[in-house]
Amino acid sequence: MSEQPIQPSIVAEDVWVKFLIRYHRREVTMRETFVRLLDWFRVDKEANGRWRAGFWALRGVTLNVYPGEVVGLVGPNGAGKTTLLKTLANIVGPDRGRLRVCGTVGCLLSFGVGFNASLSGRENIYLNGSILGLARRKIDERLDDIVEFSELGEFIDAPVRTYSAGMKGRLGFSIAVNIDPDVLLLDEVLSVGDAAFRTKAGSILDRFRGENKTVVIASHSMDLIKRSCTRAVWLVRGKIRMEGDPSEVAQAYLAESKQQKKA
Amino acid sequence: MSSVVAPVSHSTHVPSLLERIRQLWARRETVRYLVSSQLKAGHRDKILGHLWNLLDPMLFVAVYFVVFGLLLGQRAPGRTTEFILYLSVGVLAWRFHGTSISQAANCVRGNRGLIHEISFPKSVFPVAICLSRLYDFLWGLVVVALLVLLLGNGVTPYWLWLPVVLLLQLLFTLGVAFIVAHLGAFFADTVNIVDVVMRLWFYMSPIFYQVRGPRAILPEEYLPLYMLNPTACFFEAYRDALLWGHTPETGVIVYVAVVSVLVALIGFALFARGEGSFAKYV
Repeated sequence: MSEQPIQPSIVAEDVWVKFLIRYHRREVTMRETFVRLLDWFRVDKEANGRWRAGFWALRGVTLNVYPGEVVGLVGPNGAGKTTLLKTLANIVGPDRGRLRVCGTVGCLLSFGVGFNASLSGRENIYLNGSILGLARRKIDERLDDIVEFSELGEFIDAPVRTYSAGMKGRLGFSIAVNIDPDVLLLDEVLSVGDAAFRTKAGSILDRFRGENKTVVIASHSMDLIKRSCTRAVWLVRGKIRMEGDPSEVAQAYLAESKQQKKA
Repeated sequence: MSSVVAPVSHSTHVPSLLERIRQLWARRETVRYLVSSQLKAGHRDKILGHLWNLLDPMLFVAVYFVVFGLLLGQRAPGRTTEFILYLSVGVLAWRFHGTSISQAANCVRGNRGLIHEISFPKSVFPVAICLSRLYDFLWGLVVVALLVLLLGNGVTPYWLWLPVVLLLQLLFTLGVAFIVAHLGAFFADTVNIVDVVMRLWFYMSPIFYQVRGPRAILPEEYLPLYMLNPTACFFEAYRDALLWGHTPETGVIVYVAVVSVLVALIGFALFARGEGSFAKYV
Protein backbone atom coordinates (compact mmCIF):
# COMPACT_ATOMS: atom_id res chain seq x y z
CA MET A 1 0.00 0.00 0.00
CA SER A 2 2.24 2.81 -1.16
CA GLU A 3 0.02 5.18 -3.20
CA GLN A 4 -2.35 6.68 -0.67
CA PRO A 5 -3.93 9.99 -1.32
CA ILE A 6 -7.18 8.14 -0.46
CA GLN A 7 -8.80 8.31 2.94
CA PRO A 8 -8.50 5.18 5.05
CA SER A 9 -11.88 3.60 5.80
CA ILE A 10 -10.74 2.35 9.18
CA VAL A 11 -8.54 4.36 11.48
CA ALA A 12 -7.70 2.81 14.82
CA GLU A 13 -5.28 4.68 17.03
CA ASP A 14 -4.00 3.02 20.15
CA VAL A 15 -7.25 1.18 20.84
CA TRP A 16 -7.62 -0.53 24.20
CA VAL A 17 -10.62 -2.67 25.13
CA LYS A 18 -11.28 -4.05 28.56
CA PHE A 19 -13.67 -6.83 29.40
CA LEU A 20 -15.10 -7.53 32.80
CA ILE A 21 -14.94 -11.13 33.76
CA ARG A 22 -17.16 -12.31 36.55
CA TYR A 23 -15.65 -15.16 38.40
CA HIS A 24 -18.83 -16.13 40.17
CA ARG A 25 -19.83 -18.03 37.08
CA ARG A 26 -18.25 -21.07 38.74
CA GLU A 27 -20.26 -23.12 41.19
CA VAL A 28 -20.73 -21.17 44.41
CA THR A 29 -22.16 -22.63 47.60
CA MET A 30 -24.79 -20.80 49.61
CA ARG A 31 -22.26 -20.27 52.42
CA GLU A 32 -19.73 -18.66 50.12
CA THR A 33 -22.38 -16.31 48.81
CA PHE A 34 -23.18 -15.14 52.35
CA VAL A 35 -19.53 -14.66 53.15
CA ARG A 36 -19.04 -12.69 50.00
CA LEU A 37 -22.04 -10.50 50.70
CA LEU A 38 -20.65 -9.74 54.16
CA ASP A 39 -17.32 -8.86 52.61
CA TRP A 40 -19.10 -6.59 50.26
CA PHE A 41 -20.87 -4.74 53.06
CA ARG A 42 -17.55 -4.21 54.77
CA VAL A 43 -16.51 -2.39 51.62
CA ASP A 44 -13.56 -4.66 51.35
CA LYS A 45 -11.88 -3.58 48.14
CA GLU A 46 -9.91 -6.77 47.92
CA ALA A 47 -12.98 -8.97 48.13
CA ASN A 48 -14.81 -6.76 45.72
CA GLY A 49 -12.02 -7.13 43.24
CA ARG A 50 -12.48 -10.85 43.20
CA TRP A 51 -16.03 -10.47 41.91
CA ARG A 52 -15.07 -8.78 38.76
CA ALA A 53 -11.67 -8.61 37.23
CA GLY A 54 -10.77 -6.46 34.28
CA PHE A 55 -9.14 -8.12 31.34
CA TRP A 56 -7.55 -6.13 28.55
CA ALA A 57 -8.51 -7.92 25.38
CA LEU A 58 -6.89 -5.29 23.16
CA ARG A 59 -3.82 -3.42 24.28
CA GLY A 60 -3.05 -0.50 22.07
CA VAL A 61 -3.91 -1.61 18.55
CA THR A 62 -3.07 0.90 15.84
CA LEU A 63 -4.29 0.02 12.40
CA ASN A 64 -5.24 1.89 9.23
CA VAL A 65 -7.17 0.05 6.56
CA TYR A 66 -7.75 1.52 3.11
CA PRO A 67 -10.52 0.83 0.61
CA GLY A 68 -9.63 -2.08 -1.64
CA GLU A 69 -7.76 -3.92 1.07
CA VAL A 70 -8.63 -7.34 2.41
CA VAL A 71 -6.98 -7.63 5.78
CA GLY A 72 -6.62 -11.02 7.39
CA LEU A 73 -6.34 -11.33 11.16
CA VAL A 74 -4.38 -14.30 12.43
CA GLY A 75 -3.34 -15.36 15.87
CA PRO A 76 -3.97 -18.03 18.50
CA ASN A 77 -7.30 -18.36 20.29
CA GLY A 78 -7.84 -15.50 22.69
CA ALA A 79 -5.49 -13.15 20.86
CA GLY A 80 -8.21 -10.54 20.41
CA LYS A 81 -9.23 -11.16 16.79
CA THR A 82 -12.93 -11.28 17.53
CA THR A 83 -12.67 -8.38 19.96
CA LEU A 84 -10.99 -6.27 17.31
CA LEU A 85 -13.76 -7.09 14.84
CA LYS A 86 -16.41 -6.30 17.43
CA THR A 87 -14.76 -3.00 18.19
CA LEU A 88 -14.59 -2.12 14.50
CA ALA A 89 -18.28 -3.03 14.20
CA ASN A 90 -19.08 -0.69 17.11
CA ILE A 91 -20.49 -3.58 19.11
CA VAL A 92 -18.12 -2.85 21.97
CA GLY A 93 -16.68 0.59 22.46
CA PRO A 94 -12.96 1.18 22.97
CA ASP A 95 -11.99 2.08 26.54
CA ARG A 96 -9.01 4.05 25.37
CA GLY A 97 -7.85 5.36 22.06
CA ARG A 98 -9.56 6.62 18.96
CA LEU A 99 -11.49 4.73 16.35
CA ARG A 100 -13.15 5.87 13.16
CA VAL A 101 -14.91 3.67 10.62
CA CYS A 102 -16.32 5.24 7.46
CA GLY A 103 -19.22 3.84 5.52
CA THR A 104 -21.84 1.21 6.18
CA VAL A 105 -20.57 -1.80 8.06
CA GLY A 106 -21.67 -5.35 7.35
CA CYS A 107 -20.51 -7.94 9.78
CA LEU A 108 -20.90 -11.61 10.34
CA LEU A 109 -19.26 -12.64 13.56
CA SER A 110 -21.08 -15.83 14.37
CA PHE A 111 -23.64 -17.75 12.44
CA GLY A 112 -27.31 -17.67 13.06
CA VAL A 113 -27.44 -16.41 16.63
CA GLY A 114 -29.27 -13.34 15.44
CA PHE A 115 -32.06 -15.35 13.91
CA ASN A 116 -35.48 -15.85 15.42
CA ALA A 117 -35.74 -19.64 15.29
CA SER A 118 -39.49 -19.88 14.89
CA LEU A 119 -39.64 -17.50 11.94
CA SER A 120 -38.90 -18.55 8.39
CA GLY A 121 -35.65 -17.73 6.64
CA ARG A 122 -37.42 -15.13 4.55
CA GLU A 123 -38.91 -13.38 7.59
CA ASN A 124 -35.51 -13.48 9.24
CA ILE A 125 -33.97 -11.74 6.24
CA TYR A 126 -36.34 -8.84 6.80
CA LEU A 127 -35.82 -8.81 10.54
CA ASN A 128 -32.03 -9.04 10.30
CA GLY A 129 -31.82 -6.61 7.42
CA SER A 130 -33.80 -4.10 9.36
CA ILE A 131 -31.66 -4.53 12.46
CA LEU A 132 -28.65 -3.98 10.23
CA GLY A 133 -30.28 -0.68 9.29
CA LEU A 134 -31.70 -1.45 5.88
CA ALA A 135 -35.01 0.02 4.73
CA ARG A 136 -37.75 -2.38 3.70
CA ARG A 137 -37.56 -1.22 0.10
CA LYS A 138 -33.85 -2.04 -0.06
CA ILE A 139 -34.46 -5.49 1.38
CA ASP A 140 -37.23 -6.10 -1.16
CA GLU A 141 -34.75 -5.25 -3.91
CA ARG A 142 -32.09 -7.60 -2.62
CA LEU A 143 -34.28 -10.44 -1.43
CA ASP A 144 -33.84 -12.54 -4.57
CA ASP A 145 -30.08 -12.12 -4.51
CA ILE A 146 -29.88 -13.10 -0.87
CA VAL A 147 -32.05 -16.18 -1.34
CA GLU A 148 -30.17 -17.24 -4.43
CA PHE A 149 -26.75 -16.70 -2.90
CA SER A 150 -27.67 -18.65 0.22
CA GLU A 151 -28.64 -21.66 -1.95
CA LEU A 152 -31.45 -22.44 0.47
CA GLY A 153 -34.06 -22.88 -2.26
CA GLU A 154 -37.48 -23.71 -0.93
CA PHE A 155 -36.15 -24.02 2.62
CA ILE A 156 -36.21 -20.23 2.73
CA ASP A 157 -39.83 -20.47 3.88
CA ALA A 158 -39.16 -23.11 6.53
CA PRO A 159 -38.57 -22.05 10.15
CA VAL A 160 -34.92 -21.36 10.89
CA ARG A 161 -34.98 -23.86 13.76
CA THR A 162 -35.06 -26.60 11.14
CA TYR A 163 -31.82 -25.35 9.53
CA SER A 164 -28.46 -26.98 9.93
CA ALA A 165 -25.47 -24.94 11.14
CA GLY A 166 -24.21 -24.71 7.58
CA MET A 167 -27.54 -23.43 6.29
CA LYS A 168 -27.69 -20.76 8.99
CA GLY A 169 -24.13 -19.76 8.21
CA ARG A 170 -24.93 -19.45 4.51
CA LEU A 171 -28.01 -17.37 5.17
CA GLY A 172 -26.13 -15.09 7.55
CA PHE A 173 -23.27 -14.67 5.09
CA SER A 174 -25.66 -13.94 2.23
CA ILE A 175 -27.34 -11.20 4.23
CA ALA A 176 -24.05 -9.67 5.38
CA VAL A 177 -22.64 -9.63 1.85
CA ASN A 178 -25.77 -8.57 0.01
CA ILE A 179 -26.55 -5.52 2.10
CA ASP A 180 -23.69 -4.07 0.08
CA PRO A 181 -21.59 -2.72 2.94
CA ASP A 182 -18.57 -0.48 2.49
CA VAL A 183 -16.78 -2.33 5.24
CA LEU A 184 -17.24 -6.07 5.67
CA LEU A 185 -16.14 -7.79 8.86
CA LEU A 186 -16.01 -11.58 8.95
CA ASP A 187 -15.03 -13.89 11.75
CA GLU A 188 -14.07 -17.44 10.86
CA VAL A 189 -17.48 -18.08 9.43
CA LEU A 190 -16.66 -19.10 5.92
CA SER A 191 -15.49 -22.46 7.16
CA VAL A 192 -19.03 -23.64 7.94
CA GLY A 193 -20.18 -23.92 4.36
CA ASP A 194 -19.37 -26.83 2.08
CA ALA A 195 -16.53 -26.67 -0.42
CA ALA A 196 -18.63 -25.15 -3.18
CA PHE A 197 -19.92 -22.42 -0.93
CA ARG A 198 -16.44 -21.65 0.31
CA THR A 199 -15.24 -21.13 -3.22
CA LYS A 200 -18.13 -18.80 -3.86
CA ALA A 201 -17.42 -16.92 -0.63
CA GLY A 202 -13.78 -16.59 -1.64
CA SER A 203 -14.77 -15.01 -4.93
CA ILE A 204 -16.93 -12.57 -3.00
CA LEU A 205 -13.85 -11.35 -1.19
CA ASP A 206 -12.20 -10.76 -4.55
CA ARG A 207 -15.26 -8.88 -5.74
CA PHE A 208 -15.18 -6.64 -2.69
CA ARG A 209 -11.54 -5.89 -3.32
CA GLY A 210 -12.34 -5.11 -6.93
CA GLU A 211 -15.09 -2.71 -5.89
CA ASN A 212 -12.69 -0.84 -3.67
CA LYS A 213 -14.37 -1.88 -0.47
CA THR A 214 -12.78 -2.85 2.77
CA VAL A 215 -12.75 -6.34 4.22
CA VAL A 216 -11.35 -7.48 7.54
CA ILE A 217 -11.48 -11.20 8.11
CA ALA A 218 -10.28 -13.30 11.01
CA SER A 219 -9.28 -16.81 10.11
CA HIS A 220 -7.26 -19.81 11.15
CA SER A 221 -6.99 -20.94 7.58
CA MET A 222 -3.61 -19.82 6.29
CA ASP A 223 -4.69 -20.88 2.79
CA LEU A 224 -7.50 -18.35 2.88
CA ILE A 225 -5.21 -15.66 4.27
CA LYS A 226 -2.60 -16.25 1.59
CA ARG A 227 -5.10 -16.59 -1.23
CA SER A 228 -7.57 -13.78 -0.56
CA CYS A 229 -5.91 -11.18 1.64
CA THR A 230 -3.80 -8.25 0.61
CA ARG A 231 -2.37 -7.81 4.08
CA ALA A 232 -2.22 -9.89 7.22
CA VAL A 233 -2.14 -8.80 10.84
CA TRP A 234 -0.89 -11.16 13.51
CA LEU A 235 -2.32 -10.54 16.95
CA VAL A 236 -0.91 -11.93 20.18
CA ARG A 237 -2.50 -11.18 23.53
CA GLY A 238 -4.22 -8.08 22.29
CA LYS A 239 -1.22 -6.57 20.55
CA ILE A 240 -0.11 -6.52 16.96
CA ARG A 241 2.90 -8.80 16.72
CA MET A 242 3.50 -8.40 13.02
CA GLU A 243 1.76 -7.09 9.95
CA GLY A 244 2.48 -7.09 6.27
CA ASP A 245 2.53 -9.48 3.33
CA PRO A 246 0.10 -12.37 3.98
CA SER A 247 2.57 -15.12 3.05
CA GLU A 248 5.31 -13.75 5.24
CA VAL A 249 3.03 -13.23 8.22
CA ALA A 250 1.47 -16.66 7.78
CA GLN A 251 4.88 -18.24 7.60
CA ALA A 252 6.13 -16.48 10.72
CA TYR A 253 2.95 -17.36 12.58
CA LEU A 254 3.13 -21.01 11.59
CA ALA A 255 6.80 -21.17 12.48
CA GLU A 256 6.14 -19.89 15.97
CA SER A 257 3.16 -22.18 16.48
CA LYS A 258 5.36 -25.14 15.63
CA GLN A 259 8.06 -23.99 17.99
CA GLN A 260 5.58 -23.64 20.82
CA LYS A 261 4.33 -27.13 20.19
CA LYS A 262 7.85 -28.44 20.53
CA ALA A 263 8.60 -26.50 23.69
CA MET B 1 -17.04 4.78 -2.57
CA SER B 2 -19.80 3.18 -4.54
CA SER B 3 -22.44 3.22 -1.84
CA VAL B 4 -24.74 6.20 -1.68
CA VAL B 5 -25.51 5.72 1.99
CA ALA B 6 -24.27 8.64 4.03
CA PRO B 7 -21.04 7.63 5.71
CA VAL B 8 -21.72 6.72 9.29
CA SER B 9 -18.49 7.19 11.07
CA HIS B 10 -18.53 5.99 14.60
CA SER B 11 -15.81 6.88 16.99
CA THR B 12 -15.42 7.55 20.67
CA HIS B 13 -18.34 9.96 20.41
CA VAL B 14 -21.13 9.69 22.99
CA PRO B 15 -24.52 10.64 21.55
CA SER B 16 -26.83 12.98 23.44
CA LEU B 17 -30.28 12.00 24.64
CA LEU B 18 -31.99 13.79 21.77
CA GLU B 19 -29.73 12.03 19.30
CA ARG B 20 -30.60 8.70 20.91
CA ILE B 21 -34.30 9.40 20.60
CA ARG B 22 -33.79 10.28 16.96
CA GLN B 23 -31.80 7.07 16.40
CA LEU B 24 -34.62 5.09 17.96
CA TRP B 25 -37.15 6.84 15.76
CA ALA B 26 -35.04 6.02 12.71
CA ARG B 27 -35.33 2.38 13.75
CA ARG B 28 -39.12 2.34 13.90
CA GLU B 29 -39.18 -0.21 11.10
CA THR B 30 -36.98 -2.54 13.13
CA VAL B 31 -39.37 -2.14 16.05
CA ARG B 32 -42.24 -3.01 13.74
CA TYR B 33 -40.49 -6.17 12.58
CA LEU B 34 -39.65 -7.18 16.13
CA VAL B 35 -43.24 -6.66 17.22
CA SER B 36 -44.74 -8.48 14.28
CA SER B 37 -42.26 -11.35 14.58
CA GLN B 38 -43.00 -11.68 18.29
CA LEU B 39 -46.71 -11.73 17.60
CA LYS B 40 -46.42 -14.06 14.64
CA ALA B 41 -44.12 -16.50 16.38
CA GLY B 42 -46.40 -16.45 19.41
CA HIS B 43 -49.43 -18.17 17.90
CA ARG B 44 -47.97 -19.83 14.84
CA ASP B 45 -47.95 -23.48 15.86
CA LYS B 46 -51.25 -23.40 17.73
CA ILE B 47 -54.43 -25.05 16.54
CA LEU B 48 -56.58 -22.11 17.58
CA GLY B 49 -54.03 -19.66 16.18
CA HIS B 50 -55.01 -16.03 16.43
CA LEU B 51 -58.23 -16.89 18.20
CA TRP B 52 -56.05 -16.88 21.31
CA ASN B 53 -55.89 -13.10 21.01
CA LEU B 54 -59.51 -13.06 22.21
CA LEU B 55 -59.55 -16.26 24.26
CA ASP B 56 -56.56 -15.27 26.38
CA PRO B 57 -58.07 -12.11 27.89
CA MET B 58 -61.48 -13.78 28.31
CA LEU B 59 -60.04 -16.73 30.20
CA PHE B 60 -57.88 -14.39 32.22
CA VAL B 61 -60.89 -12.43 33.41
CA ALA B 62 -62.80 -15.66 34.01
CA VAL B 63 -60.09 -17.05 36.29
CA TYR B 64 -59.94 -13.89 38.36
CA PHE B 65 -63.72 -13.86 38.55
CA VAL B 66 -63.78 -17.38 39.93
CA VAL B 67 -61.03 -16.71 42.46
CA PHE B 68 -61.87 -13.25 43.70
CA GLY B 69 -65.55 -12.97 42.84
CA LEU B 70 -66.80 -16.41 43.79
CA LEU B 71 -64.26 -17.89 46.19
CA LEU B 72 -63.08 -14.78 48.02
CA GLY B 73 -66.41 -12.97 47.75
CA GLN B 74 -65.22 -9.61 46.53
CA ARG B 75 -68.40 -8.96 44.53
CA ALA B 76 -71.29 -7.26 46.26
CA PRO B 77 -74.42 -9.39 46.43
CA GLY B 78 -76.58 -8.83 43.40
CA ARG B 79 -73.99 -6.76 41.58
CA THR B 80 -72.18 -9.52 39.71
CA THR B 81 -72.21 -7.81 36.33
CA GLU B 82 -70.74 -4.65 37.78
CA PHE B 83 -68.00 -6.69 39.39
CA ILE B 84 -67.18 -8.49 36.15
CA LEU B 85 -66.82 -5.17 34.37
CA TYR B 86 -64.76 -3.71 37.18
CA LEU B 87 -62.52 -6.76 37.28
CA SER B 88 -62.01 -7.04 33.51
CA VAL B 89 -60.62 -3.51 33.19
CA GLY B 90 -58.24 -3.97 36.12
CA VAL B 91 -57.04 -7.42 35.15
CA LEU B 92 -56.41 -6.63 31.51
CA ALA B 93 -54.78 -3.24 32.07
CA TRP B 94 -52.56 -4.90 34.67
CA ARG B 95 -51.65 -7.67 32.27
CA PHE B 96 -50.33 -5.06 29.84
CA HIS B 97 -48.26 -3.40 32.55
CA GLY B 98 -47.06 -6.51 34.38
CA THR B 99 -46.15 -8.67 31.39
CA SER B 100 -44.30 -5.84 29.66
CA ILE B 101 -42.11 -5.25 32.68
CA SER B 102 -41.45 -8.91 33.47
CA GLN B 103 -40.38 -9.49 29.87
CA ALA B 104 -38.27 -6.34 29.77
CA ALA B 105 -36.20 -7.63 32.72
CA ASN B 106 -34.73 -10.28 30.47
CA CYS B 107 -34.75 -8.51 27.13
CA VAL B 108 -31.05 -7.67 26.93
CA ARG B 109 -29.80 -11.05 28.08
CA GLY B 110 -32.38 -12.83 25.96
CA ASN B 111 -31.07 -11.11 22.85
CA ARG B 112 -27.40 -11.48 23.59
CA GLY B 113 -26.89 -13.19 20.24
CA LEU B 114 -27.96 -10.11 18.32
CA ILE B 115 -26.21 -7.73 20.69
CA HIS B 116 -22.92 -9.54 20.13
CA GLU B 117 -23.35 -9.61 16.39
CA ILE B 118 -24.68 -6.26 15.27
CA SER B 119 -24.40 -2.67 16.40
CA PHE B 120 -27.82 -1.01 16.71
CA PRO B 121 -29.84 0.92 19.29
CA LYS B 122 -30.75 -1.63 21.92
CA SER B 123 -33.71 0.47 23.01
CA VAL B 124 -35.72 -1.25 20.27
CA PHE B 125 -36.17 -4.26 22.57
CA PRO B 126 -38.09 -2.70 25.47
CA VAL B 127 -40.13 -0.67 23.00
CA ALA B 128 -40.98 -3.77 20.96
CA ILE B 129 -41.99 -5.65 24.10
CA CYS B 130 -44.27 -2.89 25.33
CA LEU B 131 -45.89 -2.49 21.92
CA SER B 132 -46.48 -6.24 21.60
CA ARG B 133 -48.17 -6.29 24.99
CA LEU B 134 -50.12 -3.18 24.02
CA TYR B 135 -51.37 -5.12 21.02
CA ASP B 136 -52.58 -7.85 23.37
CA PHE B 137 -54.22 -5.22 25.55
CA LEU B 138 -56.08 -3.81 22.54
CA TRP B 139 -57.64 -7.25 22.08
CA GLY B 140 -58.35 -7.18 25.80
CA LEU B 141 -60.16 -3.89 25.27
CA VAL B 142 -62.25 -5.58 22.60
CA VAL B 143 -63.30 -8.04 25.28
CA VAL B 144 -64.06 -5.15 27.64
CA ALA B 145 -66.09 -3.46 24.92
CA LEU B 146 -68.08 -6.67 24.36
CA LEU B 147 -68.73 -6.95 28.09
CA VAL B 148 -69.80 -3.32 28.30
CA LEU B 149 -72.17 -3.77 25.37
CA LEU B 150 -73.63 -6.96 26.87
CA LEU B 151 -73.72 -6.06 30.56
CA GLY B 152 -73.07 -2.35 30.97
CA ASN B 153 -74.00 1.07 29.72
CA GLY B 154 -72.90 0.56 26.16
CA VAL B 155 -70.32 2.72 24.45
CA THR B 156 -70.44 6.36 25.54
CA PRO B 157 -68.61 9.47 24.25
CA TYR B 158 -66.39 9.18 27.31
CA TRP B 159 -64.63 6.33 25.48
CA LEU B 160 -62.77 9.11 23.70
CA TRP B 161 -60.67 9.37 26.85
CA LEU B 162 -59.40 5.85 26.21
CA PRO B 163 -56.56 6.78 23.79
CA VAL B 164 -55.36 9.47 26.19
CA VAL B 165 -55.13 7.15 29.17
CA LEU B 166 -53.72 4.40 26.98
CA LEU B 167 -50.95 6.64 25.69
CA LEU B 168 -50.04 7.76 29.19
CA GLN B 169 -49.97 4.19 30.46
CA LEU B 170 -47.79 3.19 27.52
CA LEU B 171 -45.32 5.95 28.38
CA PHE B 172 -45.24 4.95 32.03
CA THR B 173 -44.89 1.23 31.34
CA LEU B 174 -42.19 1.96 28.78
CA GLY B 175 -40.25 4.03 31.30
CA VAL B 176 -40.36 1.31 33.94
CA ALA B 177 -39.51 -1.29 31.27
CA PHE B 178 -36.40 0.70 30.32
CA ILE B 179 -35.27 0.88 33.93
CA VAL B 180 -35.85 -2.82 34.50
CA ALA B 181 -34.16 -3.74 31.20
CA HIS B 182 -31.12 -1.67 32.17
CA LEU B 183 -30.85 -3.39 35.55
CA GLY B 184 -31.49 -6.78 34.00
CA ALA B 185 -28.56 -6.33 31.63
CA PHE B 186 -26.09 -5.81 34.45
CA PHE B 187 -27.58 -8.01 37.18
CA ALA B 188 -29.05 -11.39 36.38
CA ASP B 189 -30.81 -11.26 39.76
CA THR B 190 -33.16 -8.58 38.45
CA VAL B 191 -35.61 -11.17 37.13
CA ASN B 192 -36.22 -12.55 40.63
CA ILE B 193 -36.57 -9.14 42.22
CA VAL B 194 -38.91 -7.89 39.51
CA ASP B 195 -41.03 -10.98 40.02
CA VAL B 196 -41.57 -10.18 43.69
CA VAL B 197 -41.99 -6.44 43.21
CA MET B 198 -44.56 -6.94 40.46
CA ARG B 199 -46.54 -9.27 42.68
CA LEU B 200 -46.60 -6.65 45.43
CA TRP B 201 -47.51 -3.98 42.89
CA PHE B 202 -50.39 -6.14 41.68
CA TYR B 203 -51.88 -6.32 45.18
CA MET B 204 -51.24 -2.60 45.72
CA SER B 205 -53.35 -1.72 42.68
CA PRO B 206 -57.14 -1.56 42.50
CA ILE B 207 -57.67 -4.68 40.38
CA PHE B 208 -60.02 -7.01 42.23
CA TYR B 209 -60.87 -4.90 45.29
CA GLN B 210 -62.44 -1.47 45.38
CA VAL B 211 -61.02 1.70 46.85
CA ARG B 212 -64.08 3.91 46.45
CA GLY B 213 -67.67 3.56 47.51
CA PRO B 214 -69.21 1.39 50.20
CA ARG B 215 -67.02 -1.63 49.56
CA ALA B 216 -63.75 0.29 49.69
CA ILE B 217 -61.07 -1.66 51.50
CA LEU B 218 -59.27 1.32 52.94
CA PRO B 219 -60.39 4.39 54.90
CA GLU B 220 -61.14 7.37 52.70
CA GLU B 221 -58.46 9.60 54.22
CA TYR B 222 -55.79 7.25 52.86
CA LEU B 223 -57.13 7.40 49.34
CA PRO B 224 -54.92 10.31 48.16
CA LEU B 225 -51.87 8.44 49.41
CA TYR B 226 -53.03 5.27 47.71
CA MET B 227 -53.60 7.11 44.45
CA LEU B 228 -49.94 8.13 44.27
CA ASN B 229 -49.48 4.74 42.66
CA PRO B 230 -49.72 5.54 38.93
CA THR B 231 -51.27 2.17 38.06
CA ALA B 232 -54.12 2.97 40.48
CA CYS B 233 -54.68 6.21 38.59
CA PHE B 234 -54.67 4.47 35.23
CA PHE B 235 -57.07 1.72 36.24
CA GLU B 236 -59.50 4.15 37.84
CA ALA B 237 -59.30 6.44 34.82
CA TYR B 238 -60.06 3.55 32.47
CA ARG B 239 -63.08 2.65 34.60
CA ASP B 240 -64.31 6.23 34.71
CA ALA B 241 -64.21 6.49 30.94
CA LEU B 242 -65.27 3.01 29.89
CA LEU B 243 -67.63 1.81 32.61
CA TRP B 244 -69.08 4.60 34.69
CA GLY B 245 -69.50 7.05 31.84
CA HIS B 246 -67.79 10.14 33.17
CA THR B 247 -64.62 12.13 32.63
CA PRO B 248 -61.57 10.93 34.57
CA GLU B 249 -60.58 13.32 37.36
CA THR B 250 -58.47 16.17 36.02
CA GLY B 251 -56.06 15.99 38.93
CA VAL B 252 -55.44 12.32 38.33
CA ILE B 253 -54.79 12.82 34.62
CA VAL B 254 -52.42 15.72 35.19
CA TYR B 255 -50.57 13.76 37.87
CA VAL B 256 -50.06 10.64 35.75
CA ALA B 257 -49.15 12.73 32.71
CA VAL B 258 -46.31 14.35 34.64
CA VAL B 259 -45.20 11.09 36.24
CA SER B 260 -45.34 9.15 32.97
CA VAL B 261 -43.29 11.64 31.01
CA LEU B 262 -40.73 11.85 33.81
CA VAL B 263 -40.44 8.09 34.23
CA ALA B 264 -40.19 7.57 30.46
CA LEU B 265 -37.40 10.14 30.17
CA ILE B 266 -35.50 8.87 33.19
CA GLY B 267 -35.86 5.28 32.03
CA PHE B 268 -34.70 6.05 28.53
CA ALA B 269 -31.74 8.12 29.73
CA LEU B 270 -30.67 5.38 32.12
CA PHE B 271 -30.97 2.70 29.46
CA ALA B 272 -29.10 4.80 26.92
CA ARG B 273 -26.27 5.36 29.38
CA GLY B 274 -25.69 1.65 29.88
CA GLU B 275 -26.38 0.59 26.32
CA GLY B 276 -22.78 0.88 25.15
CA SER B 277 -21.47 -1.65 27.65
CA PHE B 278 -24.20 -4.31 27.27
CA ALA B 279 -22.01 -6.35 24.93
CA LYS B 280 -19.33 -6.50 27.59
CA TYR B 281 -21.63 -7.69 30.34
CA VAL B 282 -24.09 -10.13 28.86
